[in-house]
Amino acid sequence: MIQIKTMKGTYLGELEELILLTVAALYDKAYGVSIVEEIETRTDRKLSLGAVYTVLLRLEEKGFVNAREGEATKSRGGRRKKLYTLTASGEQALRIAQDIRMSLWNAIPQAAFPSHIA
Amino acid sequence: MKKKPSSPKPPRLGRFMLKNIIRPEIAEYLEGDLEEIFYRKYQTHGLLKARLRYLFEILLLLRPKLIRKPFKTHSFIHFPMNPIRQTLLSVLRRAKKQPFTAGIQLLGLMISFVCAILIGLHVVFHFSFDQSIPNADQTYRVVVDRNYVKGETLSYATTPFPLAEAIEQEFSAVKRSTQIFSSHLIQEQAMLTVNDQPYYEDRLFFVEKNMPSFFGLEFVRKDIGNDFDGYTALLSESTAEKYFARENPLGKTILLGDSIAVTVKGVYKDMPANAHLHLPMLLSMDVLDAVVGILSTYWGWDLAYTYIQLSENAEPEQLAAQFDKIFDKYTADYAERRGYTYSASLQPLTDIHLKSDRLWELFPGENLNNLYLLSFVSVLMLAIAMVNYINLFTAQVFRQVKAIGMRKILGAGPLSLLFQFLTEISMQIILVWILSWGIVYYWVPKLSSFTDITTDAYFGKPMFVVWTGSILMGIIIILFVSVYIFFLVRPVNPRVLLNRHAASTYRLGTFSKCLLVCQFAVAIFLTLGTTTIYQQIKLLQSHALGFNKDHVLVFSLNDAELAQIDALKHALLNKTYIHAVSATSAYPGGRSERMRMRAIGSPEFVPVNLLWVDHDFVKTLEIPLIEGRDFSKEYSTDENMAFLVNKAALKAFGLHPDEQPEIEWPTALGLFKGKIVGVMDDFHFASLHQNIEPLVLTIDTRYNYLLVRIDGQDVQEAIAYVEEVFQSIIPEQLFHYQWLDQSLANQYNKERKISQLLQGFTFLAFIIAIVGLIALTEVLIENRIKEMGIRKVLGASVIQILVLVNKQFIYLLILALVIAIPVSLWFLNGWLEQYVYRVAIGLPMILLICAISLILILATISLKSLKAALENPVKALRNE
Repeated sequence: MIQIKTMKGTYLGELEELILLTVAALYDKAYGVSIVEEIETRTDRKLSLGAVYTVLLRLEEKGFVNAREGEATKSRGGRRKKLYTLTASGEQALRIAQDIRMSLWNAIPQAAFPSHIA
Repeated sequence: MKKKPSSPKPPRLGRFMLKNIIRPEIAEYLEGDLEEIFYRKYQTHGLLKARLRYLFEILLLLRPKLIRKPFKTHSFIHFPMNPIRQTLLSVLRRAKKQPFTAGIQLLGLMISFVCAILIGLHVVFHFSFDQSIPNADQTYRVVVDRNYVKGETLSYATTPFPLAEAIEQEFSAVKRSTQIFSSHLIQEQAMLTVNDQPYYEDRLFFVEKNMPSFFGLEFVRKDIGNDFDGYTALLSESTAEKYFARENPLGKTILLGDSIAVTVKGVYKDMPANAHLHLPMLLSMDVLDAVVGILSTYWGWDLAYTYIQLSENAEPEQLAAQFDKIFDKYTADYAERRGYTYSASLQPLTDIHLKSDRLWELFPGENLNNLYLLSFVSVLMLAIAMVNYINLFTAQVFRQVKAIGMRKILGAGPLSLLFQFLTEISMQIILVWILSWGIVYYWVPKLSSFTDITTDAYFGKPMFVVWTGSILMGIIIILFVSVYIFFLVRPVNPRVLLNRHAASTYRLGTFSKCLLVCQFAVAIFLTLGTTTIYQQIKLLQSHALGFNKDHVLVFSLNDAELAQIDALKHALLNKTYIHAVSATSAYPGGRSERMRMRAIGSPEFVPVNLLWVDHDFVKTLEIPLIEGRDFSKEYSTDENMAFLVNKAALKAFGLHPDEQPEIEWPTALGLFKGKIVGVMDDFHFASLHQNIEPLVLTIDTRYNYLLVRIDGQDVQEAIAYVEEVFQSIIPEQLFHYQWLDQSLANQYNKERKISQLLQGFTFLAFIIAIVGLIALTEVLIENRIKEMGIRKVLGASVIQILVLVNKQFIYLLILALVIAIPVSLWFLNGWLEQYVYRVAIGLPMILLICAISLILILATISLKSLKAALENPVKALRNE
């Protein structure tokens, strides 16, 4: 059995992982509204802005994302955006999460799947 | 996107929430994002949906991570240092500057806290009775009423002995029952001998086998099963220690009276202090059966305390009504033979202590009214102290208005002001709270020696309940006061606050005035109440009883003394300083026999109280005779069916004294007849709680007591002589006596204690109110010192200035009187109703109280204002 060591504090919750992935996927354009919409189109899951911001703040505290200020547009009533990008440790956290998944996937014997035809 | 001036805006409520509630460092971005969502939604789904979505999103923003931390961020301007430290400093500074006011403020609060906590302990203790007994909520005491055919009803705390067995068999709702008999119902004191040492117990309990398990007695040691019978005794731990010290009491023998030997077979833990029965020693019911015999089947003797446990869904009231069936079956002929029928009721076990006041109660309970009275007074005291606190705090805040104004100008929001008051007040209240509990712990032993309740009893459950209650009370006080002060200061414009004369803008506000009126009213109420109660007790103690209660010694007689009664009497009367000696079945304040008698020819029997006395009873108590003669040895017929009656009895019989009246009464052998030889003036045999009832004396040797009237001059010598006589005739007995007047005074112990407590509280409440008033006047005068200076310069006299200051208080005082007097009259008349002989609350007394309070309050204010009025106005105006 392969053990993947996770550093303390790098553990990602389900929603955290989803949002961190979305931040990475949106690359330069990740901010509150775009994240909400991206997740909605991809997963049909309606998140509230409050939920997204709570997670983003937590990810920022953990050092997985960086925030910078973006441009202000008219549709935003002249208010600036807060744009998020993935950091190196964010990338590492995502990779570890994926590795854990992969190692579990690999550990599943074929017979365990009900769809497997013997 | 179109840009019109009328382009819709997100709801204002949402924007307000974003500004005030969301953490400022993310508010801007969130606002932007939300607005973006709003406009997109507006374009796709229309305005209404956009607005709803917007508000919905805002609601979902209310998460701990996103909302502003109260008072932590952003408020450094108002609190340059640690806010707690800042507040502490300001409290200390103020205390230093105004030690008197600060001291009064806190001291008053502390006194009232201490009183409230102590009273709370006492009240909670009395409400916690019997709850620790197993199945307490399903356990009831059965009690019976004797309903006399003539209309009178006597309520007993007891039942006939066979009732328990009968109802247990008849009703399935009765799960089990147990009975107790107490020796005090037939004998004042029981003598017993342990290791050749005589002891006297007030009460010996004869109980059924299952009684220990019924009441959940915990055995420390025993050599029986759960039941016990035969000639067996069980001792409580404290009794075992009293009789046997450290020895193992099991198997030891105790001699009851002279002849009955019982063996100790168990020791149980003492009943807790909050149980309505205290059982020093339990004897098996078999012992009683052996002595008296017929108890278990004889219905005519209702002397058993009967407890039953009901099944869970039983209806006690319906059940008690069905008991009539049993009485119909067993006591059907009682209406005719004895003139009464029985009816029963069930008392919840936990109600006995507070709500039951029947004849032959096992132990005296507590008067519920007195507990309410005490609680009420403590609430009043708290109110007075609170009023002081609020008024003085308000006055002080106005002294600090400049600081508050400065804070407001520097941008302190309302919350930060509220927070400032909250911390300040919490600090003071917490300090007072801690000090009060410290004092309470020190005072509980004193309270316990006053109320005769052990400290342990107070330190148990009551302590816990009151502790919790006092914390709640503290929190409520803190919140109430700080919110009140906050609303008082908030609307004031900072420019006004910063004005040079800001401090002198302080006047008594309407609310402060209301508070003052309440305070005065309470003080007046307490004074009137205490005076009335004090007078009532004086009346009870000084009311002419109709006989001479002074210098009479009372001895309780046992069998050995009874055998020698003639020798004793004879020997005692040898000395001139012993005026009279009389043996009797009961003495004033005690319990008499109940009988039914009627005048010959009259159809109806009337209930009377009967005393068995010797020839000298009337002479010894110096009861005046108004008709006929005293018992005399010259008439040999006196020893047989001759009676002395009081006026009330004569009236009840419907007789005239001058017609040589004869009376008759039913006995087991038919009607007996007797002659009334004399009529006594009415005297108070029972306590003054009751009216004078018909009383009949007859000569019989069933004595229980010896009354000895001695000369008031040679008390010591007389007592020494009486002791000598007793020792020489019955050497083996202990010499023990009490004074008749003291024993009579003990009837009013409860009233006296309540009165003492109330006097104490009233005194304290008054002091708090007066001293608070002094402090308040000081503030008011300080604020108006310049005004006074100017008035003096312009020619006002000292008197005019005094009137000026006093005027506003006089209106308040008069208002308080108008409120307080009717309320107190209503309340006190209600309280007095429990007495047959009561004082009237007269106009002179009310006027006196008004005058006293008026003078006291005006004197207080004048004392303070006089100093200001006399001062040289130059001094007051100089620092301008």
